[in-house]
Amino acid sequence: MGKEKEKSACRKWQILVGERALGTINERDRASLERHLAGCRRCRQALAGTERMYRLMEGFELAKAEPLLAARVERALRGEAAAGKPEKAASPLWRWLRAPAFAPVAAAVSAAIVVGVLYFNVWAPGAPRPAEAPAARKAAPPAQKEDRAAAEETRAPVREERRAREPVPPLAEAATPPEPAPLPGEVPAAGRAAITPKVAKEGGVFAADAVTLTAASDEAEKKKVAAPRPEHAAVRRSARGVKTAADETAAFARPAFGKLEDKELTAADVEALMDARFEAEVERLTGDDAALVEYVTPNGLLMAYFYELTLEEQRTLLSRLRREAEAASAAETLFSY
Amino acid sequence: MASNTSGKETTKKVVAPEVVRRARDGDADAFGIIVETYRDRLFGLALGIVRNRAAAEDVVQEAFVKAYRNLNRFRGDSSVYTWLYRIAVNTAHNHLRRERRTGKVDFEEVAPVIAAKDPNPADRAADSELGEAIDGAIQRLPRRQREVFILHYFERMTHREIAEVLGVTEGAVKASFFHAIQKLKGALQAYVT
Repeated sequence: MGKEKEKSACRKWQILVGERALGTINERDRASLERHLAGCRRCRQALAGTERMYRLMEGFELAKAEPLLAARVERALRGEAAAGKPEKAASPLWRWLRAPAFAPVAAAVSAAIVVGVLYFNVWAPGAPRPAEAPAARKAAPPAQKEDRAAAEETRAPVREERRAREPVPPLAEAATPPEPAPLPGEVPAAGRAAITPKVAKEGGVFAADAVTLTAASDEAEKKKVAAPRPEHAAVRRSARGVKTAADETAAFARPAFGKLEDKELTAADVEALMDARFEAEVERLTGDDAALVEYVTPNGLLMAYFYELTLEEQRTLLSRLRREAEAASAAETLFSY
Repeated sequence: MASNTSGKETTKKVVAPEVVRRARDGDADAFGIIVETYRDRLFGLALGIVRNRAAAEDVVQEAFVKAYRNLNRFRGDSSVYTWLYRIAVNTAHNHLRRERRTGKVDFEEVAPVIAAKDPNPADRAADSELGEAIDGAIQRLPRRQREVFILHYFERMTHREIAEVLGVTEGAVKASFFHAIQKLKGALQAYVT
């Protein structure tokens, strides 16, 4: 048996080795593990190493809270109790609605409501673009608001009818705003690759709020752009000895977020992709490099992807993810208990 | 309490079902017992996830308030502590999501997740160095592996309970724990040999 095959065959035993050293193995597994250990030097070594590691950890425990936390929690609960007794037990109907079997339906309904609200309020043809909507609404005088309301009433049935006939446009396409003026140091849109290394300059990538997503790659164009980089990006680049953040990101973030290129990414997708790929990516990218492990956290992956987007693209993605995450958070509050 | 190779207790203090029932009936003292029993343990878990003491305290407070509000919805299908841990984990994850959305991600301010059990002045220097090494190794684990390691090693939860708390399969829990152990052994190699 080759070394790799042998290692792979021992893996299931080494999971049990960890349990045996911890004292959490059941009798049946213990008996079969003992038989395996008798003939496997690799697993015996693994057991000895794991036991030594646990012995090292014996003197440590999880950090404790400050004594003040007790008073703080008590105060919060007292305030909660003063505000009203805990909610009554859920009615049978509500319990049924919150049953696990109903969860996918509930999630789908929640998603449909969110999409519906967004479609009617943000993406509908004729509605103000996301980037300009708040300003436009603020500037509108009362009379204009009334006109708009009346016009909306007239347009709504027509729009409904048209919508019934036409397929819903893809999200990114529908939300695409007019091309903004290039930022300082930004390559004009006409000659720009859709994915270009860019860093948010107006309060950082997370302070943003608006617009579009496109996905493509043009190595020649990427090389022309000399955008400044955030400090931690430079640190992890130098730690890995890679040439540019674009090269680095292309190596791992783009495959992980491949769905984005199909314009189908949702906040849930981001979480799922992170979960699915995170361990493998961290392992492959960092090895034991502490600085990199620190960087490549779930948000690290997302941030790394951001560096490949234009400022406007980052804003669109953030705006969208924020809305979806808020909707997901609301749904989670309802259905997580 | 029994102990094993790792020297850790194999059982943890739990709240009696009667106390849970009383708390569900609106007995504030009974809920106080639940808080008292799990407060520090939830803090340790929250700290392991958010890695910031102030944020971990926020998470614990928020988790207990949520639990109090929803106590009547606790159906008793799971034990009260897995229910509480699940609320705490969800709250901690929500906290991280909020941080991500608002950009308040501080890579520098990472609080130690572990502490020496009995700080003996004679051993303090050695413990401190070893403690830092172990803490660093735990901190460097990917979030899911870190959560699984904390719940299994420190909290002695079973794979099934952890799966319930984290909303993943038992297989995923086993795999995460295996990977965590491999990484910790690698990171602590200088001390293990």
